[in-house]
Amino acid sequence: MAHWSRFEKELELETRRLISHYTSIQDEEDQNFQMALKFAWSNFKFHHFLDANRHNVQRSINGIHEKLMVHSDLSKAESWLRLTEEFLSSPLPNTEGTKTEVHYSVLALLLHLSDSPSNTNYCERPRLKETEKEDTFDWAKYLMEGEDIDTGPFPDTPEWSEDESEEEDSQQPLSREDSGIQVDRTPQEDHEQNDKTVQVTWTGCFQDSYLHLHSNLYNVWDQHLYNTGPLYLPEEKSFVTETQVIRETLWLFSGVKKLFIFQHNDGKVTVRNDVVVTHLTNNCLHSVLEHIAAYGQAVTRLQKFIDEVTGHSAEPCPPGLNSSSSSSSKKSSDPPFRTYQAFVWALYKYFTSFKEELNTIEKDIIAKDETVTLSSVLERLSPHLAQITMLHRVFCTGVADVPPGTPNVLRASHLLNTLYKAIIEYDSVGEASEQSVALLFSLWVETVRPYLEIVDEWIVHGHLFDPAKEFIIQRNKDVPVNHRDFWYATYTLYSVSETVESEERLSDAASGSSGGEQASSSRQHTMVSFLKPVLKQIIMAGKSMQLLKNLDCKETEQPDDAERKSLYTLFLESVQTRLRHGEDSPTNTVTEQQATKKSLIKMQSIVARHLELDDIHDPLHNFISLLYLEQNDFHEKFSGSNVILDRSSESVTCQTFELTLRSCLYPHIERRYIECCGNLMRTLKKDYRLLGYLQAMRNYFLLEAGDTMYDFYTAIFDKVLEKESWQQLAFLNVQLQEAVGQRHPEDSSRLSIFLETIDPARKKQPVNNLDGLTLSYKVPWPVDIVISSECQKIYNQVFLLLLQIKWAKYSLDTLRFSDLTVAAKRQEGGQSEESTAKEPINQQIHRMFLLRVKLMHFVNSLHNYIMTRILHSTGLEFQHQVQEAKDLDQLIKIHYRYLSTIHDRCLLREKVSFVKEAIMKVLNLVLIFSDRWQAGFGAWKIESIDKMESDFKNCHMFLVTILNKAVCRGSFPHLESLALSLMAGFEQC
Amino acid sequence: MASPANANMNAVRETMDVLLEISRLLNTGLDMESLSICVRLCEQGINPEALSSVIKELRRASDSLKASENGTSQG
Repeated sequence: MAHWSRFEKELELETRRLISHYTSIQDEEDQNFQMALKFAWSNFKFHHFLDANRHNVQRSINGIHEKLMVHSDLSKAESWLRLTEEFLSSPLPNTEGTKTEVHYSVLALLLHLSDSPSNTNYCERPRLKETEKEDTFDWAKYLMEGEDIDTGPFPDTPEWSEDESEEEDSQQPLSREDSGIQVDRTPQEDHEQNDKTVQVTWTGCFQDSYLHLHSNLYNVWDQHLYNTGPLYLPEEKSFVTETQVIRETLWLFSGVKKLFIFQHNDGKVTVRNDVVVTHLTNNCLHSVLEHIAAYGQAVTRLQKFIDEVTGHSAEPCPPGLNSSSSSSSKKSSDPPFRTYQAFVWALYKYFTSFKEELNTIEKDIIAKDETVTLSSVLERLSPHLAQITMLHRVFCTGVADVPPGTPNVLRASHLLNTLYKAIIEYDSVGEASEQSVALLFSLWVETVRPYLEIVDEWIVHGHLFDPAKEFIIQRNKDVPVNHRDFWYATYTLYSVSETVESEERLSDAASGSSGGEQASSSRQHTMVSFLKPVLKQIIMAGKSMQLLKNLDCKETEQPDDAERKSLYTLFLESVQTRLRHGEDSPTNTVTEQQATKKSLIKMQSIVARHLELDDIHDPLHNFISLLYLEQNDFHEKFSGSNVILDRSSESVTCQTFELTLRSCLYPHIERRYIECCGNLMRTLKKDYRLLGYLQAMRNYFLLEAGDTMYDFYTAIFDKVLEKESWQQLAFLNVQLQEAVGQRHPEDSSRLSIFLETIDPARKKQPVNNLDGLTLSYKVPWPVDIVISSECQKIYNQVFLLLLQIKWAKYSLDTLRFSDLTVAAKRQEGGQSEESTAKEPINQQIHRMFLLRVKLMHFVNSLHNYIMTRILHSTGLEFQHQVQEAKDLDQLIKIHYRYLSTIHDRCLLREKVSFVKEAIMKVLNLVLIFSDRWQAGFGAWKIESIDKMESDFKNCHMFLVTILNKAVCRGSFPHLESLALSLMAGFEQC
Repeated sequence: MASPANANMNAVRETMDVLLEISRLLNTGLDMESLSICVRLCEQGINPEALSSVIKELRRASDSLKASENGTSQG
């Protein structure tokens, strides 16, 4: 019973297999599957067929043979007979003996299933082929082939299409029909696409068995799989030799796309599944090949990028690399993006050396002097492969990850930053990554070239030439050079915030004068980091140079362009010398001096080579030619110059990369900056009389030209005294011109005065009468960058204050004692009796005299303080600083600082307005007082004297207290003199 | 390598190869897998004629199933 059930189970299992095989329903619970199972089961159990009869089967076999003979299909008839005979005498899996009933029933099954066995024409060919194939298996031939393998040279040397002509000689003819090697059936479509087009000659040959006498691990393993798994079905495999694998690997690395083992789809490199070698198992080979394919993919990606940038891509719209495809596709109209071009050039140089290495390996293989195995090749290439991985990583982060549509400036700075960061990252690892750092450094040196050239052009010729808009600083087109805002609004500094990677436009940050520094320190810029320390200098120098160019200055020491070395050349030279004397610098005395020295010398050779390259042309010419290079020329330049960089021997530590920059790049920029700005300062001072204008401002606004301005303001004050209207523009201007024209005729045309209409509410106090009086000085163009209209506003505020003080002083000074005494005498004579009741007149007059003197003391103290202690001494400091100023920005800053200082010290600041108010009150008092004095005795009452006295006393006390407090705190040392003199006046009261 | 079991296995493999050739010659449409299933079924005593009718029926049913899935009206 048990046996029966087991038998049944097996039967059922097989039936299920059969059904799932035919219906391809995998789910056994499926309704259809169950139906099919029931159907099959009932047919198997309850059928009405007779058992297979061996006579009938034999008769059928003979019949078919006869039929085939009749159809004169002799070979097939023969095969048929032989095959059936062979089958009948062969064992079956679970059946003992031969020619059993089972044999016949199997044959009967086939006969039942046979589809029109008579209609042989129908599928004659495939059958014929199959049988022939089976028949021609020949041990003798196989053994002969084994011999061939040893004696025969390379059967599969492909043709290199172009620059590999030297290999043509060593190419050897096919010596045999290598099993597994057939003539390439894939069409060679794109010969012109790749530099090298290889003909892969072992494609698409599938053979069920490829046997080798010794290297047969694959077969042994396959056999093992046969034995262990009864259902193991051999897959069709295409056999290749290890040499073929090696050569395909080499070709893959050199950028060939049509390969047999490695297949390219959509920028991905995959390994063909059915490729086997005889001495390795499938899995083993595949794990190695997958590894290679990953590198191959990196190479392809980089190669594609190179093609795109050089405009050499055969594909019109390359997939995958959208970011850079836009730059390549629009190439005809857009100016070339030089940073990418330079990067590509550097990559190209690396690949040249890499391909050379590949060629040597391939030659070694062809020469067959030594055994070349896949692992030895990989071993030999491993430093290169590591470098390629690194390059690919840099490429991915620096180029490929940039979203499409990003402006060039971001792309360029991102790429440079990525390289820079990578160098620093690898640099910190130290010895372990010498090679990587060397390679990255050379890449960086190449890639940074356009930037340095832009900087060079800018700071030497004052011309920011950047057609592709890749530099972090851009010229604002709408601001002409001879505009007042030129210095501030001409350039835009692009910077990227580190975290959000979004573009920020820092207009005016480039000006650097007031807000620039804070801005750059508060934000984390990813603008090209290596330029950051000298960015300000670059901007200054560039702007200065541009300004200078437009000034057509008289004495310009134009460096001779032919002799002048570009910034890039200078940089390379410095790197070279630094590396040559690297061991002397204190930074390298760390450890392993020997190793560092050695490596530094090697690195120097790289730089030397760069220099050699440069020496082909004059640097400037080189620069210009690079700008106008057509795409074709660009490529010619690539392929034309036979630069051989033996990168495998480069081992560099630039542990001090930043130090290198600091000592090799920054000084040149610094020097240029000093030169440019010094030039500009000299020109401005000499040719454009900057100092003269600054002096003029002080002369007129700060009343330093005392005599001139005295003439001017006394005329006004006199008018006021005479109670005439002075607020007429014509009168004011005439007075001004008269005063200035006498002594400073050159300034008379520049100076003018204006009257602003002032809110009448503010004119309540007599001292405010002067409000609205503004002096204006026309500053010519380049100097108005320094003396802007904002500056003039501050000057005017001080000017107004000075006028008010002067007015008070003048009105006090012009009072005559006789006015009062004469009036008093007259009055004494007339009304002597009346006045006796009150205070005696003399006493009143005496009080007036005293008050006048007190007021005079106050006004004079204030006047002294402002004119000497503040304006004069601050002016001296300012003049000194102006002489020292290195660049225009600094000068502007000094000027602003000077203005804000005097503004502060003249107590004009909002914060100390209460002090100013007190002073104004006193000045007002002075004016009222003088008014009354002028009116003569009797025009006022005794109470008004009392009030004036008390008012003055209050203000005076208040000021003394406040100033004393400030002085005691020590925060305003300059106030000390004012406080002391006021105090002295107060104590005497 | 040449153990009796292996030898037997190889012989059986050869038999199956021969059988596959016969099957191809007869244009039965059987592949290696179905052939090996059929051989095992025959060895278990299934009537070859019944088996062949089952296979034909399965083929036909699966074809029509696929056809109806594809939306075409095929018998």
